Amino acid sequence: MARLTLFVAGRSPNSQRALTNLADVGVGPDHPALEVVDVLASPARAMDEGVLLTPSLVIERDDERLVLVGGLDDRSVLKESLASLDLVS
Amino acid sequence: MSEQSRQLSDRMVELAELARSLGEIRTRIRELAGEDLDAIIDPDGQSWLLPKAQGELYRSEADQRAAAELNRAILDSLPAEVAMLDGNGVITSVNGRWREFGRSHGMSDPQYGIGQNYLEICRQGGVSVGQDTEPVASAIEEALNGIDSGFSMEYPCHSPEREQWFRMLVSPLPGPDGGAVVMHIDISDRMLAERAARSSERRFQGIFATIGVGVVVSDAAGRLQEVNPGFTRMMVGSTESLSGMVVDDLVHPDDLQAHKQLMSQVLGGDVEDPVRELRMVRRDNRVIRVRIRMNRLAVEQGNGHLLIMIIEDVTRERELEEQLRRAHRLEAVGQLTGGIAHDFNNLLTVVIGSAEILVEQEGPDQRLGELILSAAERGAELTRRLLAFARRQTLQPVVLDVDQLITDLVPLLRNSVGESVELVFEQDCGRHMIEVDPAQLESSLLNLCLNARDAMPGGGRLVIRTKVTMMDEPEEADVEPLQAGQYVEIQVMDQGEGIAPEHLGRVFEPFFSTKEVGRGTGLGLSMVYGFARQSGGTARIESEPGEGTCVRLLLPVH
Repeated sequence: MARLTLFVAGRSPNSQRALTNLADVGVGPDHPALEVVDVLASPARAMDEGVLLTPSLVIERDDERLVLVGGLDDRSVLKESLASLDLVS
Repeated sequence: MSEQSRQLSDRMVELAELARSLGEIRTRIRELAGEDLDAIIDPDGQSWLLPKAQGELYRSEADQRAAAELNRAILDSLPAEVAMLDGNGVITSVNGRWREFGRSHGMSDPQYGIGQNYLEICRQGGVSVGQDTEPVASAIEEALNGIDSGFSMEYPCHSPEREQWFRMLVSPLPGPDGGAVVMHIDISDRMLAERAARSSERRFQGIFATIGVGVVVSDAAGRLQEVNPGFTRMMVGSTESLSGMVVDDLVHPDDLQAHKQLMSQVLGGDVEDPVRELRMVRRDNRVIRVRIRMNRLAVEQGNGHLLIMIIEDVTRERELEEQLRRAHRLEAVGQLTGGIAHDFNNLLTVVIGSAEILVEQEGPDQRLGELILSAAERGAELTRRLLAFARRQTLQPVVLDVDQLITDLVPLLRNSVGESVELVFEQDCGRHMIEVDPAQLESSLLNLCLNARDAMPGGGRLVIRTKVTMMDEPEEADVEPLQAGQYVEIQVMDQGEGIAPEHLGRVFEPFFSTKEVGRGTGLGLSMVYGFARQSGGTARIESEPGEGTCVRLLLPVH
């Protein structure tokens, strides 16, 4: 089962854009595989995951781990990455 | 220079070097990541917001604060007590009116319920909604759980000082966090207005239903919209039988033009005195005389204003006026007749005396004397009748049994009316006696029977009926109304052609006759009337064309 963790910094613009882009490709805030972590509220989670930048989307399945940094504006990359995990069609 | 400032000054070079390094780091990060990052997290877990993200976040927070203040201002300005609940039913915020209501009702909680669970408050009876609060709590719970799209209810919340009603509205909030808005809106003004309106309506309906006159509401075309029981009684109909009718259908054809004209004037608003007297035709086809007051209502329906008509049956009033007029005329004619007849009688006494002297003498004047005597005696008889009408004849009253008197008189009456008329005597006077002049009573009955015979030239049935009548109050207007008490009533009824209504009011006047010239003196009924009045009673006549005539003699029981 794949797991997505989006690290955001509050409601800052790039973090909001990353959320919007994710929703646009079919992974909305209520998606069961997605967890949104606000590093301003939970900095320890960022340290545990080794995340240094926000927004960062950490994609994990089994032992594989992929991190996409930024506002996720490149929809083709995003969609391809998620499709490979069968999260979107 | 303070110690702190001096230390800061000493470290300025190092601080400046660090700031320059920070700038270089920021520039390098922008070179690496462009504008696509918001924050950098250092190994200590500290987040460093990049300048653009800081600005955006600051603006976003400022916008949120402004929106929150606006929302609070809106909530405070609402004419209702408002509380916001979270998804579990906990009160997260309340508006100004909620706090004001809490203060005025002695709420001890300084937070006015914020932080408490509203469902639990309801279940513990902490919300006065005028009924069992458990269903209310359940309904709020359903709204919070998305089972129901919200609900509302109205409830009383009276205090010793004033009556109050509220409407409770619960609306679920959209979004993942859920929650609901609870509003209590003061609807006391509306409830009091509705109660006043209901009370006014009940009073109006009470008046409408019980008022003794007819009330009709019609549209501009005269179609009946509403009629009160007074009008249905007046028309001898029912609400159903009058339904769908037009007022015109009920107005006498001869008065229809006047009615239409009044309606037109009232609708046009150009009539000063919207009252008319006209005739209407009841559902049993009887004609009544009514007084109509018409007004335009400030309510429009269809193509025009509604009309209200207050209709008063004045038939009896007009009949009484007519009776009183007749009575006054009879009284005046009686006084005039009596005075003249009395003087004539004195003159005729001299003439008769002189004529008798001439008759007793032998010679050529004897024949002349007989002629004078004959004419003078006829004149005397005429004056006697006139005096009878004028109630100035000399009566010799005795106490008698009227049934016995009529029984004795019937053979004579049968001979007088002839075989073609069947004379029936129905006596029901018991042992009641009257005190009258028997000769005048017999003369009156003979007179009435001869009139009845003349009214039935082809024969018919003539009924003389006696009974005792209690007169509580005058049946009709008169100059000298009958005293209340018991009366013997003698009815003489025929099956003749009747008397036309326009003649009926004059039949007791002297020299008024409906018979052809030469067949009646016009004094018969006048004498009967005068005799009855002089005996403390009266005479009345009722007649329907084609149905016959009934003369009623009313004589006081002795």
